[in-house]
Amino acid sequence: MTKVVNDVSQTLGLPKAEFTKMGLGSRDVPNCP
Amino acid sequence: MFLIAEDYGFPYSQVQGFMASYCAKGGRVVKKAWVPLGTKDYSSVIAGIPPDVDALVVVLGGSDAVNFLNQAEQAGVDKPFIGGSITVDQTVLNYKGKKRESLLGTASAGPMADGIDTPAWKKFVADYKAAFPQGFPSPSLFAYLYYINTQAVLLGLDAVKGDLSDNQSKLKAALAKLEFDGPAGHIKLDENRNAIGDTYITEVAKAPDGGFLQTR
Repeated sequence: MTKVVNDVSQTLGLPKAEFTKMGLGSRDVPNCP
Repeated sequence: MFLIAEDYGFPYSQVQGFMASYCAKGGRVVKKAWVPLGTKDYSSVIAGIPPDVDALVVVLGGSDAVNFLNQAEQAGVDKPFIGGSITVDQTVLNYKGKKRESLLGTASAGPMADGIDTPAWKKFVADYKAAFPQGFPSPSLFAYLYYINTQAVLLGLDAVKGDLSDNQSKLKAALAKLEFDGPAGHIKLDENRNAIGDTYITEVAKAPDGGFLQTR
């Protein structure tokens, strides 16, 4: 189960455009109630 | 899932990282509790945990994590945990409450892990123990981050031969393009000066000496 993920960027592994579209992390971003 | 986290930017980012992947996989976080830093009484939060959740995501640090864990134990909470990076680092794993036992197996992630099995990490741990014989069994996340930040500044100062003129412009330029191997892996910066480095997916395990460690 445990592993190493190399060279993790600040966009959570997402393309920059997709990460930007998500919006700044906050109380409700992202959400899956 | 039920999620509890401190109500400020650092936990927001950690929760964002968890939620982005978890939601994409079809997961559901049915309730979140955002608590102020330094919260002492978690009774109302614990009472509000839905009984049918599978696990708790706990993104609390230091005394907040210890207070929550103790009160959750006293209230009979028996759900497994997923922890934030400072929820299960050495600053929390060394507290003496009974709930500590239930942290075994807690999944987490962060830029280091106690159980890294490389010569560089083992040397870092040995040097830490030699410098701080009364410290934790293994460096905390904070100790690691302060170390690599200091390491970067020292490497930058070497690169500019200590030249801090012109509002440290040469040092700033050197730091922006600096890459180096820290105790837990290679580190560099992106165009916004945010770090790019290795992330370790961990779980809490018991060490041979009885202490608690984040293994990888």
